Formats: sequence, C-alpha cells, structure tokens
Amino acid sequence: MLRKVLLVAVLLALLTVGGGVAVARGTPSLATEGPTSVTGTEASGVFEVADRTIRQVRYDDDGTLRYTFRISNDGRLPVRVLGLDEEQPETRLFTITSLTTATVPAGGSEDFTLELHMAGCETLSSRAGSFVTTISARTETAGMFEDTVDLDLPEEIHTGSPREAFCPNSTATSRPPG
Amino acid sequence: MPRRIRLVLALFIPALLAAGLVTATATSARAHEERPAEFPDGKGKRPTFLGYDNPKSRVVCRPESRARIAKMPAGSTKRLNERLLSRCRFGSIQDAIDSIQKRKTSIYVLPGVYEERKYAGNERTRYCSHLGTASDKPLASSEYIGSISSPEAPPEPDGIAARADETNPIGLSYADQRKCPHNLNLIAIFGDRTPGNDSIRCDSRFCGTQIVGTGRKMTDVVVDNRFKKLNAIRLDRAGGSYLRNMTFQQAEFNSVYVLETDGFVLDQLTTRGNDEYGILAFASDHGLIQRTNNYYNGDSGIYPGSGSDLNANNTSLKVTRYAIVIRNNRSHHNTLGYSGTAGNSIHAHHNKFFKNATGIATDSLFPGHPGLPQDHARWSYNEVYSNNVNYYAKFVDTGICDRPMPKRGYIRGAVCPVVPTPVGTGVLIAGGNYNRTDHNWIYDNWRYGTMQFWVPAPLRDELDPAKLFDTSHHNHTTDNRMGFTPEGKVRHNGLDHWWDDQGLGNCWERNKSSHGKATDNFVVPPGSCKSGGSILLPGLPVKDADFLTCSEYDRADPIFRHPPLCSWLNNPSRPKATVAGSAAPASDADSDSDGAPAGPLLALTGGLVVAVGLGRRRWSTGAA
Repeated sequence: MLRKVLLVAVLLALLTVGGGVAVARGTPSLATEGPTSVTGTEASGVFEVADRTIRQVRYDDDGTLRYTFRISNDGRLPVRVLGLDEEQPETRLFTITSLTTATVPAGGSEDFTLELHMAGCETLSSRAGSFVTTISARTETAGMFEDTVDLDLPEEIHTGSPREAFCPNSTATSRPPG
Repeated sequence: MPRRIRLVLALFIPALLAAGLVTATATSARAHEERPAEFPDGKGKRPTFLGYDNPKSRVVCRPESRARIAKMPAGSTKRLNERLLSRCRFGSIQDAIDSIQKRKTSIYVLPGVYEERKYAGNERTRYCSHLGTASDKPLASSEYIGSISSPEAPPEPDGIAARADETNPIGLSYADQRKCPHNLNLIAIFGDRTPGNDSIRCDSRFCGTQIVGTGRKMTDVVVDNRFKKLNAIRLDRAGGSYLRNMTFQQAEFNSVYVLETDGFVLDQLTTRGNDEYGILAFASDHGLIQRTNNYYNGDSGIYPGSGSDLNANNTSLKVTRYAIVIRNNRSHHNTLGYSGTAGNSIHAHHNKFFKNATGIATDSLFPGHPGLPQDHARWSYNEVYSNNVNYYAKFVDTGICDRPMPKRGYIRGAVCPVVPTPVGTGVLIAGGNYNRTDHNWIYDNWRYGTMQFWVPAPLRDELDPAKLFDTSHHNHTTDNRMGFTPEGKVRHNGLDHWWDDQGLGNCWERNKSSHGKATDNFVVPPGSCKSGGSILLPGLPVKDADFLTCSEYDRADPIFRHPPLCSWLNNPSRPKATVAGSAAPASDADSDSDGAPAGPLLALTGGLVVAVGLGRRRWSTGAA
C-alpha cells in the first residue's frame, strides 16, 4: 500500500515538475500595450489609419529616440526581458539599439523603454519614410529558459526622411531624388 | 474589430487622437528640395508672344543650323529661318541671354542641338566652388545648406573647382543662385536683380525674356543637358518669361524649372528623359503651360506644385482665379502624368494623360511645400487613360535603375520611378480639398478610375492636433465618362471610384460608367453634391493604409524598392465588364451617387453617422 502511495506521489511530483518545465519551456506569452511616450524628438503625433496606429516622429539626425511602452505577461510564470535579440527587422532610418531590462510578473505588466538611433537620411529620398513595427526581445523564464520573442509595438513608429536642411550629411549625390 | 464597436470608438477617436498628439514648435519647413520659397505678390501678368520680328532680339545658331534650314521645305518657316540665320551672332543660348540690354527681348533659337558646353562643365569661381562654407549670402535658415562636401563623390578634376575642400550644396539662397547661375543650371534667367530687398518681383533687364525655337517642330531645337546640371533651364523670379517651340532633355531634376515667377508661358515644349520632372513650376503665378509633350520622366511630366495659394481661405468650390492653367498638353510614359504636392489653384483642361503609372495626382503628403494642404485644383475635359505601365517592375526590378544615370537609357524610354504611386490609377487625390474632377474621359485604368483618401496632417510634419483631419473635404467628382473613350468605345476602369470614406462634402455624381452603374467601394454612399456630399468621420472604416506602407519605397534599396505589403506597385489586372452589353451613355440621367443610403452598415449606424457628421461640420467650420 505504502509503495503504491509513494509511486503515486512520485508520479504526481514528476507531473508537476514536468508541467512546470513545460510551462517554463513554452514561449512566453508577452504582449505590448499603452500608455506610450517618446523623448528625443522635437515632436510626434499619433493617428489611426485602417486598423493601424501610427506614431509619427520628427526625424532628428544622429539623435536617439526613446520610446516607452508596456509589456504584459499572460503566462503563469514571471518573464525577465533581457534586452534585444541580435537580429532585428530591417528598417532604413532607425537602428534599434537597446531595450531596458525588467521582469514582467505573471499576469502583470511592466514599462520598458526602447532606444532607436535615427540616422541614414543621407541615403534615403526626402519623400520616403521608415517604420519600426516589431522588435525581437530576449527573455528568460524561471531563471533558466531563454527564448526570443517577437513583439509588435503598440504603435507603428514612423518617420519621414527630412529635406536636405535637416539631413546634414546629405549631398547632391548621396541619395536618390524625391 | 467588430464594426459596431469600431463605430462607437469612432465617436471618441478625435478626442483620443487629439489627446495623443504632442505639439511642438513648428519648424519652418517651407519648400521643395530648394531654398525656402514664397509666393509672388500676384501683381504680375501672363505674357503674350512677341512674334518673330521683335526689334529687341538675339539670334542663336549652331554649326548644323544652316544645313538643317536648307533641308526645310520651302515656305514661310524656311524663309524666316534663312532671314534669321544671317543675323546669328551667338552659339550659346545663355550667351545671348546674358547680352540682353532691355526687357522683353526675344532670343530666336535656330534648329540644332544646344549642349551649352561653356556652361555644362564644372569650371567655377572659387566663391561658387565653396558656397557651403564661403557664401556671403547664405540662406536665412543657414542650416539648410548643410555640410555638403561629399567624400563618396569627389569633384571632377577639371578647372579651378577641383579642390578637395570644394562644396556643392544644392540648397542655395537666391543671391547665390544668381551669383553662381551654373552650379546647378545649364541655362538660367534670374529676374530679381535686388535680392537684398523684400521684393521677389522681376526688376531687371531679363524680365519678359522670350526664348523661341524657330524650327518646324518642337524637336528641331534641342537643349540637351546630358545630366551635366540638375536643371536644363531655370526661370527664377523671371516674370514675363516665355519659352516656345523647343525641346529640353536629360536633367536630373527638371528639364524646365520655373520658380517664384509671376507671369510665364511654356508653349509647345517637349521635355523628356529626365530623372525627375519634365516641367516643374513651383510657387509661381499667372502661368500658362500649353501644347507641350512630356515623356520618360521618373516623377511627372508636368508638376505644378505649390501654385500660388490664391484660394486658401475660399470655402467655395468656385475659385477667385487660377494661378496656373495647363491645357492641350500630352504627358505620357512617366511615373505620373501630372503631379502636384500643394498643387493649389491649378486648372488643367483638354490634356491627355496616358500610359503613365498614374495619370493625375495631387497630394498633401510631403512637408516643405508652401500652401499645404492642397486645395482648389480643377481637372476638366482631359483624357486620362491607359495609365497601367508598371515602371517599377520594368526598370527598377530589372536593375536598370541601378546603373549610373546617363546609362539608364532615359532618352530611349527607361523610367525610374522616384515615388511610389498606385499603378493603374487615373486620378488620385491624396489629401486635397475643394478639387473638381469633371467632364473628363477616364478609361482603361486597370486599378481605379479615380482614387481619393485622407492624409493625416502629421505626415507633412503638421503636428497641430486641430489640423489632423484637415484634408479630403469638398472634392467633387462629376460628369465624367468612366470607361469610355471620347468616341464612345468601352475601355473599362478596374473600379471607377475608390474612396476611403473620409472627409466632409465629397461627392460623386453624374459620372457615366461603362459598367452601367459606376463601380465603387463606398461603404456609405455620400450624399449628392447639392445636399452637401459626404458626412462621415475619420475612424469609420478607413479601408486601406497602403500609402503608408508604400511610403518606404526607395528605388535604390533591394528590400524597399518593393516595400513589404505595399500593393500599389503590383501589376493591376485587366478589368472585365461587370454589366453585360455596356455601351456609351446616351444621356445624363444615370447618376452613380444619388445620396441614397444603402447597405446594412448604414442601416445599423445611420443615426450615429449623421450625429457624428454634424459634429465634424462644426469642427470643420471652426477650423476654417
């Protein structure tokens, strides 16, 4: 009898641990949301077109845009956001440089700040623009399982390539016309 | 999101958006890629042709002129040329211009090819070679010039300009343009001799200059820029200028460039093979562009951008007057037949826009153009047809546009689009107000006959929340023949009318469609023009954001030459008839928009829409 009880207990323990591991091994259930804010640009505005929310920012050559937003965690375990993955989506006028680090509690949320370096207007027509809509973040669950999560930002960050006046490295030949 | 929820949210979106906007001190971004431009005072007038016997005249010819004249058939034109040939004292058009002593002088240009080699090179004074650092008349906004020294493209080793520290800015003050006329221009006329005063009016001996080709046709006299300068000819504050019966070609920016000029006529010109524009008129007034032929341009054949904003405060569709009239022209095989950011107070009629990617476009998409948002253009009695040529696929995707500019074959028909545009579209209004599209023949445009959408003000760097919804109002599209040639043949458009359902006072009526009833994508049909047109609100189903997605277009970038998810640059498919037995309309009785509400959405939301529409009216009035 005791042996059976022990066996059941062991099985339950294994199931619990296995389930926990499985939960921890699963891709973290993270999502982004507002409120949002930006610093590092003279001005920005938000508007909606179709099902898209656009955060328009004024380009500031060689400036750093800091975009603060919230990450929520629908999972059962806290998730630590370790920063940016090495691979980030292609974009022309922004370089995605850093993401703050913090732990998002299970069922909770935390504010993060994304840093974007604005550069490259001298190679892009003054009538073209550039978006950042998604970032790839590195995460750690239960202190041991690392993962990479693609996060759609709560707003699509957009800037336009400025005219020559505000693009100090542009030349008569450095960028296509526009 | 369910439509009902979206609709309810729509009530609050303006407030939410307004709250979300962060205002800041507006930067004085007021011009094209140019010095900050301003509108003339409007006291000038359109010049008239002074004929071929103007006593104040100069004659220009080339070595080949004599043989070309000899080959002319007998007649008055030949006799004229023979007479003028005996008076020829100049081999360069610019030399003849520079010799002008009195206003209203005519330059008669005999048949031949004018490369203006004396001015096409880079030989410049030390001052003109160092404008970026040594200008004594920099722009008031000194940052506009920027650091222009280019390590990637060092100056050509010819003349005194070949110095490592040479600078070559393209944003110059008027004073520097005048002082260094050939930094950027093959031929130039600068009419304002007093750049230091407050007036930009023409006040020099160059006012009223007429440059007239004397050949039998436009292509008998060719000014070939060979991409040596940004512009082939520049008329800058040159009131009274008249160009006639010539061809200008192969410029990186413009073949014919008219800037801050009050009173000009461009008559019987061919402009072709340019990286950007055939004819570009900017911040100008009292203009006439007629009987020109414009093709193989990477932006547009004719660009009347930032026309004098004569009707900026006019809340009626009826204009006080038009700044520029464009009539009896042909513009074809360009990315755009006609385009005009802030193309205000323009009347284009009896033109043909065909075989472009898009026929006609006007917009409020880009910052830096005086007179935004765009308003009060009229396009009437034009033929806008077969604008389906996908130059993106044909020349960008194939690598032809990666070649050095002179090797792309522009003069033989290559077109390298500078901007993204919806291939297969007849008339596009991207954020305009009080425009009239009427009595045109719009046919065989495989995507849309007409297209209209709202452009959020922040995209043009206008961050005042009160102006967020200040475009796409009071545009009337009426009395057009959709899908019919002037002869009555059926050539369907893909969809006759595309609209994003945004804006007040828009209407479409009495348009005759080859489909029987005009086809459209309207969720809620707008009211009749007489009843005030559309009453909808931004936030109701905006159908599409392709213009945002496509704004990433960059023809030089392997990824963004086709921005992911941008459908504008895809080939539209040839439309099929939606109604059997389509024929030319016999009467004006059939209207495609009578204002009658239809469809389940309106049944569900009619009351809210009306309420919201009334709210918008109040907002609009308040903002006016």
